[in-house]
Amino acid sequence: MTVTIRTLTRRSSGRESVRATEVDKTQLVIGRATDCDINLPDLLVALRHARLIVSSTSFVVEAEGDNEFKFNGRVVRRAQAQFGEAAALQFGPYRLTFVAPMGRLTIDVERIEQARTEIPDPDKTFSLRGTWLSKRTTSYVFATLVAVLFLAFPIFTYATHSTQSPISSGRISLQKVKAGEMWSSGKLAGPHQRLARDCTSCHQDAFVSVRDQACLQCHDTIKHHADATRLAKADTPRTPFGSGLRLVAETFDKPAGRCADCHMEHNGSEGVSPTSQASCTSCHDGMSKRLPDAKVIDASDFGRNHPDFHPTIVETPDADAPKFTRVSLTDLDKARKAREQLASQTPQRSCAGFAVGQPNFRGIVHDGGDLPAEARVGDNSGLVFPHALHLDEKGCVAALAQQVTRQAAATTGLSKGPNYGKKLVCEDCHTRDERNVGYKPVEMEKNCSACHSLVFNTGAGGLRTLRHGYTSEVIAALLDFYQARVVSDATRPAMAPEARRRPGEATVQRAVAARETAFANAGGRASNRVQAIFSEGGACYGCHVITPPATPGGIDYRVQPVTLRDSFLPHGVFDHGAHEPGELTCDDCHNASTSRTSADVLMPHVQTCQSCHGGEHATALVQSSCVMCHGFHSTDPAAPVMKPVTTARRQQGATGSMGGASR
Amino acid sequence: MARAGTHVERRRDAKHESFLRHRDYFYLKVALVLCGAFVGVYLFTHPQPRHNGGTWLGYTLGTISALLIVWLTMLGLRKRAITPGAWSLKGWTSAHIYLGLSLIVLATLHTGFQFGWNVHTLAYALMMFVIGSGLFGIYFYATIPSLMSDNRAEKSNLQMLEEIAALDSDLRTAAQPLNEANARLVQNAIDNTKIGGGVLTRLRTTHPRCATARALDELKAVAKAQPRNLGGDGLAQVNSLLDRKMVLLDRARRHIRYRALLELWLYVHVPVTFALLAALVAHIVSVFFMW
Repeated sequence: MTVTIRTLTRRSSGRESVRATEVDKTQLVIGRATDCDINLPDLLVALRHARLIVSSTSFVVEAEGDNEFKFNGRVVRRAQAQFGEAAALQFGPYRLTFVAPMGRLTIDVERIEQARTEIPDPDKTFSLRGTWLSKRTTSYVFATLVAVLFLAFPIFTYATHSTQSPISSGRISLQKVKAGEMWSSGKLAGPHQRLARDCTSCHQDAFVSVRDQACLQCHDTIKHHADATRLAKADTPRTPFGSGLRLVAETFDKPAGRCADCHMEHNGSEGVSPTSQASCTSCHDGMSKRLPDAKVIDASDFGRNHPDFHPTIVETPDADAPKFTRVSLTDLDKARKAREQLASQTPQRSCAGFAVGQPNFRGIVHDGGDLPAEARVGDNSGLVFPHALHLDEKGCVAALAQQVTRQAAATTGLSKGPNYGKKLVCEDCHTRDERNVGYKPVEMEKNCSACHSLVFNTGAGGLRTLRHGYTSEVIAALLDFYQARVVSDATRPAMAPEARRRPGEATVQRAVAARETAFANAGGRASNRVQAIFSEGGACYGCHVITPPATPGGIDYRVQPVTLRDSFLPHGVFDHGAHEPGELTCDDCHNASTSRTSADVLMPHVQTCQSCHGGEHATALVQSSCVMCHGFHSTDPAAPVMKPVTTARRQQGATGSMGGASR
Repeated sequence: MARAGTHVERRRDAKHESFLRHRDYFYLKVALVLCGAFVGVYLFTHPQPRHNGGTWLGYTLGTISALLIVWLTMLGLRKRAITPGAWSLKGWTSAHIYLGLSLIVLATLHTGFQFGWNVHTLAYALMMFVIGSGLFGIYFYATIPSLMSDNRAEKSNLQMLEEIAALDSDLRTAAQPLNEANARLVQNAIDNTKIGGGVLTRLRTTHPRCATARALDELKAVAKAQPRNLGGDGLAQVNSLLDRKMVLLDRARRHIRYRALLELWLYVHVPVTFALLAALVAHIVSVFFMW
């Protein structure tokens, strides 16, 4: 049988060329080897891939070994076809089409798949652009993620934030998802921490700086330091740089003088209560130039530039509306020296003489008409109290104190009664307050009455005591007592009208006469008692300035009101407790032992403080910024001063009382 | 001629002065002065209650840093337009690097060393991450281009691939006489030798699954086992072709690895920069929103 093998080659130009060979065999070899009858030069074809066996009616293709080929699209190892049937076989890239009319076989050989010689895209091959990595996609994804999570989401929670408690509201809230904390620039201070998740409690409007109204929602009782316009004037920037900063701040809606100007949040415990000297000196350094009418003296640093103290003293004592004034300690000291000069000219006589014979400047404003003007400057408390007398170790007060101690010990035991040592010391009369910072106001009943007894009678029926502070009651009580006593005297047996006296009736008549005289004189005698108590040598006169009766011989005595200050420096706090650990004694600061009158203000000069305390940046001394002593939120002397940070903890809940006026 | 002359001159410039050394470290000096000045101001001012982003210095540093970040990002646009001179791309790159590094100081001073789990520290952390990835970039750009140049032996990317393709074509012809097993190895080497591949493959220095390497190994073993006088079956020629292909493959792959190193940091640098820009916007908006 003659088999015609037609090899078709397609040129790139599209032209087809056919090369035909004829083989006269019944068995043909198909393979890559050059000696094959049908040579298929491709590595996918085996050297001897298959055999073709041709008979008269059919032809069979059998693969050699493990080889396979495709027959009419199926992978087979053997294929058989009848003449007259169409058959297409594929070996690797070659298609063999069997055209077999009866008695004649033609095989068309055509390469249908060209060898792959394409060159990969160099850019994709060499650059990472050929991998899954993408800068663009990841950029979009990252940026979107961040923008959604950290920008859109917090704004959404802000916009949908309900005014009711975030804890109770069921929907997405700042509380639950902490969107607010995402934006928080730092921890809040102390009690503000509970607001941490509720940004709107302070940041009430978007893009509007925190206003004072937000602060005043809670801090509604806070006192203002000064009028806002005056504050702004005092805080006028002094340098072009400062003015520039102010301008920028105002341009960006941060007006000066807001609470938040000083109280800076989101810095943890720092900042919310400003402690730096600069917070104060931004106004008070050279403030007199900017606010000429300000009563406060300039200060810039406690160690280098702080005025001497100007104690607030009583100008006019009054139970209800005492008047105060501020006087420089220098003037006060001058007056004290003048008084001491006058006192030294008069020889001291006795215990009583101290108070009576010597000039003791009783009520120097009212009674000191004969004193020179410079000696009259002093605290006009209305009380006569010579510290020197009470602290004198050899004087009558010391002796009395010892006696009181002995008596008290005899009756109530040493542990209960007053226990004065050889002489009185400050603590015998002055008691530290609960906060261990200052001293309680001195009270007659608690602090003086152990010696200054107001008992006026110890007769039958118990002690009779005058009620301190109530002048009219005192007068009434004395009158009542002494008048009543005449009656009781009259009922004594010696004076009784029915007493038997047979022999010599004269006695009875005398007694009757005496009784009548006693009744007649009762009013006068009682008045005498009242006069005695309010006059020189009397119980009230010793300590009080007495306004004598309007008419001579009358008894409408009045006691000048007493106003005792518990602080001479109401704008500052001196922590006495904090000064105990050292070797300091009261006398180191308060020169009390030579003070003859309560007009003396026993305050130390600022230099005394400066011997230990320097400014905020002091190196050798205790670093002391303004707030160690001064508060900010009060200028009203009758109002509690906002306590400085250093003692705030101890003072929590307590309010300092001012002007402890006596009744 | 004159034009050719300037061209040569410029080429010489490019060769002798790296982007780091540009204009005698001009931008390094600018960055150092900038950082030194602000460190000085930071140390010698005492804002109340403490240094943070909200003081005048903090806002100043923040504004400068934010503008710097935006400007640094502009390199991505700028690099697509190559111009010569003081504002050449190289100058721009040099400024990008040194001013970018100065952000480490400026932005840190801006924070006042206050950090927390919030958008502000997020922006800072992303910025530091971008700068960190940039440092890798500096290192690779300073070391790799010369290696690449040595490796590619003045051949273009396309030339390298064309050479390999040509060898494949030769192999196809040369392998015709080989027996089935050997021919399959060669065919496999032609069809399945991967140049490039995944990210990790590109970074690898060895490619143990390379079809060409395998074919070469096995066919060499076959050739060794064969008696010497049977040289006419083309095995030796195939092996020599495979050998040459292997050399070209190694070179191409090294080139790919270098390119990957040179590019990979940018796949971090650029997307994180965009995250940073978003965080920066969130940071600034949040500050003014909660003013």
